[in-house]
Amino acid sequence: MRRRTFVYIACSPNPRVGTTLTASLLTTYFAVTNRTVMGFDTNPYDGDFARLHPKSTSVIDIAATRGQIDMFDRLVVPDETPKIVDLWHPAYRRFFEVADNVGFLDEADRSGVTPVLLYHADASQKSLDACQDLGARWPGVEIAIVSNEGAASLDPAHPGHLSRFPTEHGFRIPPLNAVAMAAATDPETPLKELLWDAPDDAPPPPDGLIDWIEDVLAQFRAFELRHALADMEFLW
Amino acid sequence: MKPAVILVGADKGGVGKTTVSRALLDYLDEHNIPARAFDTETPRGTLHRFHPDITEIVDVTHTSDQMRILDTLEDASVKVSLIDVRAGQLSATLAVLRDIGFLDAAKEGEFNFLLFHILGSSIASLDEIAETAPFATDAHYYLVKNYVNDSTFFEWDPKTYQDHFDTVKSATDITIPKLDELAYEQVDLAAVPFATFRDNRTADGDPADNSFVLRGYVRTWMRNVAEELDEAGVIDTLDVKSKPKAEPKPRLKARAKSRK
Repeated sequence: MRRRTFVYIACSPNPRVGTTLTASLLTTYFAVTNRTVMGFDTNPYDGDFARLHPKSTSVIDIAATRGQIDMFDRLVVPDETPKIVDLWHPAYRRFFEVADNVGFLDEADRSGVTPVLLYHADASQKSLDACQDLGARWPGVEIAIVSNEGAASLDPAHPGHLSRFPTEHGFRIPPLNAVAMAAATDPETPLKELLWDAPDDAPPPPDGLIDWIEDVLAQFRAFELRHALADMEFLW
Repeated sequence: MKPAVILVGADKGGVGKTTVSRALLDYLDEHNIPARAFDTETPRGTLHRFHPDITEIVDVTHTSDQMRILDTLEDASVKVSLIDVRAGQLSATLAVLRDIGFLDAAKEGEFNFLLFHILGSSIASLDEIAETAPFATDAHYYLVKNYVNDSTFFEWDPKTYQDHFDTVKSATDITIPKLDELAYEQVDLAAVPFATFRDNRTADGDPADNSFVLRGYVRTWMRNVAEELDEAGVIDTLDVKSKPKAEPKPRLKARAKSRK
């Protein structure tokens, strides 16, 4: 049976909510499970996602038609290779305009490509409004809320805020100490190299990093399993 | 149905009249209305390059070519004839049509006459309306603002435009939206109708390798143009029972095997 091709879109209209970290961790997840992945960094100037994963990630200028072709023409290919878009916040509005204009959802549906919006929530009303708009704009497309507690913690005075987002599923990226975070986002030593491919005599990773990454990757695995179970034809 | 003649022209070059002609031919085809076209850009016609199967290159100032177009209106199995008038020749062509009695015949109701006057962004285009209007009293007259080549119409102030527009009581306004430049360029290079590019086909009908993004831009643009033409009542004016082509059905992901 041919498997679905997922397109993960890490997005938010707001800056500093952790889209790049999520895109990077997801790339790491596919790398450590020995799968090819294709990434798109929509920050054409100084994108960290492309810097962290230069081999698998293309830099895209979505304001230019060439850039749109370089990305969307590949996003609709049902080749079972997961695609990850790190949507830079200034490109947020343009991305969805272009997607609607070129008929991305219709083509994805026709070709068996499944877009998943990894919407990065924060405490602002703008974040909630934009997410609700997205739900109305792309009905039927899965929105998974990402709560990055280190980058954009939600207001503890409003514990029910997250439940107002139009989704049933989500990911929680726990906070991480500064030393471990620096190691996790060091372009010189990718996480896979640091934690999985390190030589025996390498120094131990910073405290907290292994537990943290295992927690996050387990959530990605759970997400995939949920979809795999939903796609099972002979399960009752 | 009554034969119809669609004249597309401008008194200024570079305003995109052939683009509008191509859009009209696609629009008619989408409504299952067969059409033939005459390209007056002799000796090498631009419209002919995109629609070679249905387009003849003619010179409307030659009597023999006038006969090829007008004497066959009743006999032709295809009842809609589109004439793409050479740049700068709209007024002259209309004068010829008047002199040979074409405009009188249209007035008598022998056929439907639709005039698409493509306006440029300069103020001179507004003066063209005054020149053309006297010929258009018995035509369905469409004033077309064409943004496909990114005209801004910056010279037009709304009052001046309205004053000119009001001189032609029966005119209908049509706006052709801008098409992404790269998409326009690639359709041009492919030398196929917009619909063929959108459907990812070559001129021979074989599968093409056109960009999904560019096809998407063309699809959206064609839809917007069709909305404009629908709103302007072009199909109603043609007095035909059109049947829009069905949208292509999504491909089946899997087909159950039939059991004997």
